[in-house]
Amino acid sequence: MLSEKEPLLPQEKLLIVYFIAVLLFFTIFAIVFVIAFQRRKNKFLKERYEAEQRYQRELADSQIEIQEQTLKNIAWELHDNVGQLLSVANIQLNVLMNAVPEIFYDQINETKSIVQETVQEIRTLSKVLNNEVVLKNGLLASLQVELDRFKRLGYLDASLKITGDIIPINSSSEIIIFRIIQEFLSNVLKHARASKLFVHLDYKEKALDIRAIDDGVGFDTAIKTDSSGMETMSSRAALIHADFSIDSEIGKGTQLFLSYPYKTAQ
Amino acid sequence: MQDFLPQTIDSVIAGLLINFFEVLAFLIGILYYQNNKTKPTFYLVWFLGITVFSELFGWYAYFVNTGFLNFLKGTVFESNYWSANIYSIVSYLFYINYFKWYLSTKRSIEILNFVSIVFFVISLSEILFSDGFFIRFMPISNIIGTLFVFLSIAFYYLELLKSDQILQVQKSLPFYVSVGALIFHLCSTPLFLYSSYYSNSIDPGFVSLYKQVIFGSNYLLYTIYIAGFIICFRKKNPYFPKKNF
Repeated sequence: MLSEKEPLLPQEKLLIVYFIAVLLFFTIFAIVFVIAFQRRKNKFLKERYEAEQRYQRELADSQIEIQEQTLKNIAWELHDNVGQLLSVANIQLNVLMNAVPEIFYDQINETKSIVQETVQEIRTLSKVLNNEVVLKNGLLASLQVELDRFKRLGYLDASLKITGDIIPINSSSEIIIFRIIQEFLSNVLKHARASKLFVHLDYKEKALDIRAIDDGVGFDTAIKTDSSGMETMSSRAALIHADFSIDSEIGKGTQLFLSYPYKTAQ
Repeated sequence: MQDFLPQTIDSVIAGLLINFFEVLAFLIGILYYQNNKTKPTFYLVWFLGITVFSELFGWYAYFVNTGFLNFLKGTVFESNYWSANIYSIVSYLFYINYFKWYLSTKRSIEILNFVSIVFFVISLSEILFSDGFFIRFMPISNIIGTLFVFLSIAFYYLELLKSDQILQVQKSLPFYVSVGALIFHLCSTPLFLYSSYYSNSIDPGFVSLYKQVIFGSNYLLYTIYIAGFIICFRKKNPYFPKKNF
């Protein structure tokens, strides 16, 4: 009551200042600390979530990889071994047809058509299996895998060159491109007797240019063959609005050229 | 830090007990430094040494009244406030800069450097322009020093929060130093503001409060330091006894 009339001591003023300052500091510190804590916690949660995601992704990846490998092996086995055996069976049936009386022809023909259907089925199946592989792997990886396999199996010395900035292509076009190249490659293996194969993917500004060159026996492009390989390739190229051409001369190898524009494809 | 004139026999004993704690902390600090030779620890031990020296030196004022130094009676050196004031500037500067060693943010370090200079300038000008250098603690230096020490410790805590060191915080020496320094400075500063009232002839009640708080916070401070040294000492390299860093 008395002190209300008297001026405060300097120490009292200082004390007030001190307490206000300390409380202010404490408040600011508490707020900053809470915010920092919050950030840290959020960061931690985010990191944990990302790690979880990464783990899941890697798990899925490795599962896919194993699956692909299995499917691919099965596809290859089916296509090469079982398909080959069935072809042999077909030849045997042809031989048999000449050696037996005519009354068995119908039955043998039926058997032959069944064998042929089986071959076809197996081919389709192996391709379906491979399709999955292409979808999962992407074009470049699939191509690399394919070429590596050729090298590994000792068929020919295949190399892949990529230039330009890699631009992602939608997966359906990717599969078609891969199929075209694959068809070409399988023809090289079957017919060209090549020792070297060079595949070049050039990512240009508006289009992806693909060039595949072998040093095999080549063929005369003027002669029409009954194999549907060429037609399949060009019709597939048309499907994705790509320019497609095959140049070859006997004795000078074969060259495939494919130019895929990014824009026109959907 | 019992920088005042002991007036009764029990405060002499209490003061000596504080000195004992200080010396103990210093000696354990030296032992700790033998085991863990880092720069901040080096400075901490040095600082404890300076504390011990300053406290022991402060006892001369006791002999001004009772012993051979009574020729100083009536001069400005009659009480030991001047040495305690110098010591407190060193102490604040030490605490502000000690935690810098544990900061990684460049900006915080720059802020603390700036703050140290500001503090030094303020306390120097307070010594020069106020008349209390020989008769009481410097109030403005104490307030500003405490706030800056608080700031330094706050930076250190934020740093702790950001790093994974927080998981091992009970094993880190600067954490104990920070706790001790924070409690001590926040508790003792308000009483230092009133140091000129420390006299039985003015207010005996205040004297007893002052003693309890100052003695208590001193015991707490040095107990925390000693505990920190011992705890951090024990965890040192049980598997790699030769390794230092």
